[in-house]
Amino acid sequence: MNIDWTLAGSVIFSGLVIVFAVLLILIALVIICSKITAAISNGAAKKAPPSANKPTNQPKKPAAPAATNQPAMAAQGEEDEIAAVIAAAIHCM
Amino acid sequence: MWERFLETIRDLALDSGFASVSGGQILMILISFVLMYLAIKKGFEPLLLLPIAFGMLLANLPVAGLSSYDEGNLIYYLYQGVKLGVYPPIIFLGIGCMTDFGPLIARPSSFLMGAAAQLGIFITFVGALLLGFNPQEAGSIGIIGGADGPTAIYTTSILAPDLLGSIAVAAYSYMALVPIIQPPIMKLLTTKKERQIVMSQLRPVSKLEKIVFPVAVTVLVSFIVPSAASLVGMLMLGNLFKESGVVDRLNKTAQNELMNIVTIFLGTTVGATATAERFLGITPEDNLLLPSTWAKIVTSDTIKIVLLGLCAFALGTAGGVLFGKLMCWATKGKVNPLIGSAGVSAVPMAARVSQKVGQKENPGNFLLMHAMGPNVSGVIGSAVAAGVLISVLG
Repeated sequence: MNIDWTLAGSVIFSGLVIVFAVLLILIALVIICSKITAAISNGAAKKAPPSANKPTNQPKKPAAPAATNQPAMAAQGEEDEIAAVIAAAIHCM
Repeated sequence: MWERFLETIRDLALDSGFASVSGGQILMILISFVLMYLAIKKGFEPLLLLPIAFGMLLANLPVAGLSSYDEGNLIYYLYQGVKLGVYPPIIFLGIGCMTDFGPLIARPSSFLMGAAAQLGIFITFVGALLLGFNPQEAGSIGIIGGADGPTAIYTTSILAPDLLGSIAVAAYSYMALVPIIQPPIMKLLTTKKERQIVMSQLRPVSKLEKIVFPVAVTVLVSFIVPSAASLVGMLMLGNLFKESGVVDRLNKTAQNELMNIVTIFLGTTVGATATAERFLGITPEDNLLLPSTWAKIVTSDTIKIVLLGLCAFALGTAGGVLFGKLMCWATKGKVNPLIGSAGVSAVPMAARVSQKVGQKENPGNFLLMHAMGPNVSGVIGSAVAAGVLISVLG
């Protein structure tokens, strides 16, 4: 059995190194892109006409109870799960 | 006149398949029946396995000349799409249209689990060399560990086209067996406490990020590994169709009609490469009634490929899970190692397996979205690995 171990070693080493290196660079790219898009979104939000300084003679809305945040977050979580299941089902079709 | 009639009947009989069929062809036809049964009755990746099985049947019909190697017939011309590396990238276009990279963008560290799961490719490469395959064949067999059918077909069509039928059957069969192969390995390599880890909710991902992502990935990967540009480029083009929201017609066509047409052509012609000589390693003169013929079949390349394919899958799963454990330790228990097994790019099957195994330990634990990150990262990782193999061995 004539195995070129030099070639085998170079394939394994270069393969794993390149795959990890490319994906590490992609991680950096995604992080940078997300920071840039977040900065763009924040900039756009600051430029929007301020709606916080409304006249105080407007009737105060009752404070939303903190408990409703949890069902909202749970609902958001459930919606994400449902979307994932639907996406998986469509993919299988 | 009567003699003329008898002569005509005799000539027809001698020209028929019954006079020319070999034992190997009969065996291949039976194997195609088994694959059709698995596809139809058991639901083993039917979209590809059924046309592959029927292509195998067509290729082994005696005298018909319908294999992908018999010049002049329809199958031969359709096979050129495989040979020229056209069909797999088009299928990747459709896959890109159906893929959501949101979970991956929300947690970029998932990329590393997708990378670790490609370990199976390279270890199996060594195993194939030890079993007597040449480096190009070993690379094609190793890529089964990427758990990505189009990538395996694309790589094999370039590096070892003679093994295409065996590798395609092995790759798609094992992809269907992911829910059976992975759970024991996942349980073996993780503790109960690790399997019960609940991960924090993923951050929302903006539309702008989802639009920039495919463009950036295409440019970056293609510059570093040009051999992967075909697969990764089409995957990201499809994803851009989806995320841009302005080419809905193209998006729908790519993931429906176009993908279905190419799947039919790809599956049928790949199956039609599985002639008895190539798949079983026997000649038409070999007698199936002799033990020596069966010894040839049992020690054929196909059996070795089937065994190596299983190793590739198992090692890929183990690599992803072990890296998941490393990330669990590094993040002080914030990452559930089970999602690492989804780094094999059998989308979305592997992610669902992570969800199922995690939910067995903790019924309130929803790992599906978290596992989708490594799952889709595995698609990119296996395409990059294929590019490296083609670049080094091609």
